[in-house]
Amino acid sequence: MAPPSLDDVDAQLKAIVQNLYSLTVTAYQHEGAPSVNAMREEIMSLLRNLNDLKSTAPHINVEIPPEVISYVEHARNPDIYTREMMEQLQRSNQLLKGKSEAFAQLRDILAKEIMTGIPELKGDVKRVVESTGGTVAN
Amino acid sequence: MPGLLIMNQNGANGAAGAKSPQDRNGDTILSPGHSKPVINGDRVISPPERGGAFSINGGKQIVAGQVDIPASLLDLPPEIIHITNSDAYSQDVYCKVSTLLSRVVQECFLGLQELIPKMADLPVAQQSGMTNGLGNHAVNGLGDGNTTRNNVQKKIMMMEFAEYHRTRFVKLLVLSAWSRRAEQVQRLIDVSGWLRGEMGSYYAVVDAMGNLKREMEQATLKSPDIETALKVLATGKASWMPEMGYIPPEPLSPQEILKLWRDGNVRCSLRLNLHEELPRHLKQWKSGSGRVTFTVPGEFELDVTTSTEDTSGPWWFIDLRFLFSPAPEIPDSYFRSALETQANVVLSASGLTGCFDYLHNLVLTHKIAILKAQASQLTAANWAGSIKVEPVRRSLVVQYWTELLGKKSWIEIGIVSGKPKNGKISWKGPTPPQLSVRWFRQGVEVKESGLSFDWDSLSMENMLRKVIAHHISYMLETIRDRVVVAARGIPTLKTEVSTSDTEPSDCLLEVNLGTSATSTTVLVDPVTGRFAMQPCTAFSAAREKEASKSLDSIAFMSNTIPHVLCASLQDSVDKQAQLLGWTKPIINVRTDAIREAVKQDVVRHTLYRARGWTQNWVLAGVFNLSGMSWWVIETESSNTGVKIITAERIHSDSSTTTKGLALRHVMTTIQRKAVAEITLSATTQSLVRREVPHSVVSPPQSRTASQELVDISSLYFSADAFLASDQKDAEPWAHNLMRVNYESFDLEKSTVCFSVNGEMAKGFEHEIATIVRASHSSDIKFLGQNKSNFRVLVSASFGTSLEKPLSARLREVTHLLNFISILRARKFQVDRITPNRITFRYGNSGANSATVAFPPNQPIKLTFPRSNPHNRIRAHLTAGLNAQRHDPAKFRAAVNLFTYHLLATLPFASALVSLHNPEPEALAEEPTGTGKETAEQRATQPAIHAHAPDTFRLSYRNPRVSFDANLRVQHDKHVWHIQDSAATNPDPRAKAAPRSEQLTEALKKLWREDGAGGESWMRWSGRVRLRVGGMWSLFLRRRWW
Repeated sequence: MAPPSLDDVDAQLKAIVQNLYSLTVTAYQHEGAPSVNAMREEIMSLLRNLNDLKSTAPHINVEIPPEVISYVEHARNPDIYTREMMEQLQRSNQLLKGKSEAFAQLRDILAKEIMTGIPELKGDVKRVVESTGGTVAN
Repeated sequence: MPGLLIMNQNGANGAAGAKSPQDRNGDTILSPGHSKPVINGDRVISPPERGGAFSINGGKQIVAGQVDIPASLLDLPPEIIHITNSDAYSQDVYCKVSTLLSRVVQECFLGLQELIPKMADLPVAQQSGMTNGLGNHAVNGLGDGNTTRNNVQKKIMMMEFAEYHRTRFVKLLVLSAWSRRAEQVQRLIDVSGWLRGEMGSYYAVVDAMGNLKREMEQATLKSPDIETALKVLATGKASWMPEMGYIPPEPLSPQEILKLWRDGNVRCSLRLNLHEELPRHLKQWKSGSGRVTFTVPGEFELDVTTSTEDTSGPWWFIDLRFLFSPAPEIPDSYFRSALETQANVVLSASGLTGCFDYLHNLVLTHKIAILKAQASQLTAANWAGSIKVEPVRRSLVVQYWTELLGKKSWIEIGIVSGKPKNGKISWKGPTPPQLSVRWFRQGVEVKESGLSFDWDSLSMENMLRKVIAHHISYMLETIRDRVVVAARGIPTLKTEVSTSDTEPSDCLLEVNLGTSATSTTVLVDPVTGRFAMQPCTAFSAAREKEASKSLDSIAFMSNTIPHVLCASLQDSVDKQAQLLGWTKPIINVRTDAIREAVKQDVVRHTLYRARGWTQNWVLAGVFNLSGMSWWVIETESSNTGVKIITAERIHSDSSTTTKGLALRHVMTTIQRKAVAEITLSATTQSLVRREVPHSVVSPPQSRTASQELVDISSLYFSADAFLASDQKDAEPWAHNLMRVNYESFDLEKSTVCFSVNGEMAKGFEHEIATIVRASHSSDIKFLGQNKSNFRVLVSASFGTSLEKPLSARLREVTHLLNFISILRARKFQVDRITPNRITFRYGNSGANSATVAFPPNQPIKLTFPRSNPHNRIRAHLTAGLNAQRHDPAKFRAAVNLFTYHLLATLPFASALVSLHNPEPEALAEEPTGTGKETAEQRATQPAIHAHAPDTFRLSYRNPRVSFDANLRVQHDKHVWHIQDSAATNPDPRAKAAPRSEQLTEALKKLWREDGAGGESWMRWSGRVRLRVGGMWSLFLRRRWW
């Protein structure tokens, strides 16, 4: 038997939600013995579903950031979290890119200056620059 | 550097590759589940999970992916680190959905479990038989609608429970839906974390580059422009130097300078006189040369000037000179410019007063710094090891005598603010802060030390010396006071403290016991603080050592000084005692015992025994602060040791004589005095026993000291009382008062010789004259004009009373005098008199002589010449004299009787002699005993027995008859009774031999012949001496009859 997936969990969750909803309704529209029986059925079903979910749960190997839980807890859409995450990541990426380019320039200029100032180091400087992805203009 | 570059490379590539998760969905880069610790610059690259490319740092590449990767990218950076919960974060990065689900399920179940009993507890109106498994719900159903309160309550509870948990499960549903993207988001998070790391690396690189640049500063070579420098220095200018083209100011002419100065003087004077309110310490100023010079004595001279008369205008600092020594010169240097700048700032801010405060503090601090430097030099020089310098903030603490035990002593040089304690400022204005010294003497601050220091010429050594001089003075004075108190006003103890205010070596304490010979000087070494004593002896050296080890050396020294003084005294005495031959007896007598015996303080003592002294007497030299005193001590050995019985002081003025001959002389005197004292004391005791009035008289005080030393006490006693038993009724022959003086001491025999001096009583001069004429003895001498003073020598053995020898001696004199007076009364002719022997003559024209000898301590000896008729009764006479010898009155009677006997028995004795010699004329020359006894002589000569001086018996053998002759006094006449002894005293043996008729007849005739006689006796008086011969003739005649 394949390990239960998130879909199974979804189904079980939905069943529990249904049970709870039925309970509410039954309690609200109480009509004596039939209602009592129905309620009993519902509760039994709820317990069963809870049990199922409990046994399924350990097999779900998914981890989510606590921020997402917090979002849901406060009734916000977790997709917003996803989106914000994306945007922030893009920003950082661009910043880092700029920095790396600026450093690459610095590296080149520095290399040039060092080679001019201390010609003896030319070979070393060249090697360093090339191994770091730059080119040395002769 | 290489590491740095590699990081940069990683960063650059990483930045480039950061897009890839988005673009390529992370296919090539991310490897979930893979995590590695990050080490800066040393990343290990692991192969991606799904192929692609991995690289080893350094450039070798392995291509294994489906994407065509440019060559530059083949050299791939390491994988991005996946962040998991197991990373070293303090809290979980992720929550597990499974846990979340389980928890919510559990919560829901628990809620249900809680809800149902709660609902069951709510009572609802029950109807029989209507119970149901689910209890209340069923009951509710059959009830009176759903309207009861409990019912409604139950419904609400149920609905709330269901609704609450439904919401939660819906949220779980949402999460579950989102969870499908969780893996992607996780990658995003990883990338984000990596990006942050990269950013941090960039910042670190910038930092490192900055540090590198700063450190490289040291490595740069200086490149001075030597050429220009040489040019400028040589020629004054360099052609390539820019020329600014400044126009130099015109030099001032002397007149202008003078004018400027004058103006300056006026300005300064105006300001100072009119506008400035100068504090007290700035009142001393003078203006000149365009400036005003303030002088603060002992500190500095300050030149300032001003450019304006305006009071608000600033003063300008010109120059500063220090007025104390050693003071630094202020060269044109960095210090001067800094000082000038600072001074100008202060001047402009707070004016002259502020500037004064600033400079004043500068001077004070600098003075302390100078002192500190000097102190440090001292610690390296001759004060090394004995001072300790400790700067404490702005103050300086110098501890001296560091090696000394006990509490520390130090001085503290600091600055005291001029603020009075009560907060009031005197009318003179506030006092500026000053340097001050606090002196802690053995841990206690000395407030009233009276120390004042010269702050103008600073010298740490002088300060130290001054303080130490005060300290030493205090120590010595304390010791002096304690010694004086301990001496309790003894006048011989002389103490003198010389103190100095500045020189500690001049502080000394001189102690002596009246003379300079015993003088001891106590000094304190200024550097180490140890005591020293002069003159240095073995004893004092040991004490010095102990003093340096004691915690309270002052107390130790004040206790030691008496010992040192007494020890020096004792030392000199010991030397002389050795020369005098005094020995130190091995007697264990404790000082306490001596102290008790002599009843004064004893610091030290020595016991001596001079030659000739007996075991139980010692001479004790007692030394204390009053000098030495000498005591004669009588000891007694007991089981527990030696016990002192008596202690008699020998008075002498010798307490302070210590040198050589003088001391020996004193000690000789002491010895003589001691011997005399011992005997006199014993004599006094016996006189007290005999109740003889007496007194011991010390030599008169008026004499000079040297004479007084020689004088020895005399004993005066009443001769009458002393001789009372000897003299009885007799007239005293001497004046009542007699004096006993010490004469000599015989070391060999251990006898003491005294002389007894007295004056003869009137009426005895005659006898004295006789004696004087005849006397050649040294035992008794008569002196004075009339020879009325006599002197008798008496000796007694050491330590015993003179009483017995004295009384024996005096008795002899008495006897002598008695004898002489009686002889004179009998009109005997005295031939020769010495104190021991009298030769006299008696009888008709002094025909008979006799000699009486009085050898001392022996019986009187009587001797007659052989021809003397009294030889027959000599023994009786001698016995008569000796019998009463110890009773002077009886003795006198005995002497009287003796002379009487001599006179009274002389005729009879002579008759007896002639009886033995029938022809007295012929036989007078012949000795009695040696004559040839003829038969006739034997018949006629009776045997004569002297029973007593005046009783004789004459026994005849043929006829056997004996007669008794007794001397009797009848009618003032001496009469000899001669009678037949058979008649008066019948002899049994005589009766046995009956007398013949002729004899009886003859006797009767004899008795009858003398008319005065009776039947058996006859009277024979000396007066009818001639008849005696007749009687004997009768006897002779009748014998043959």
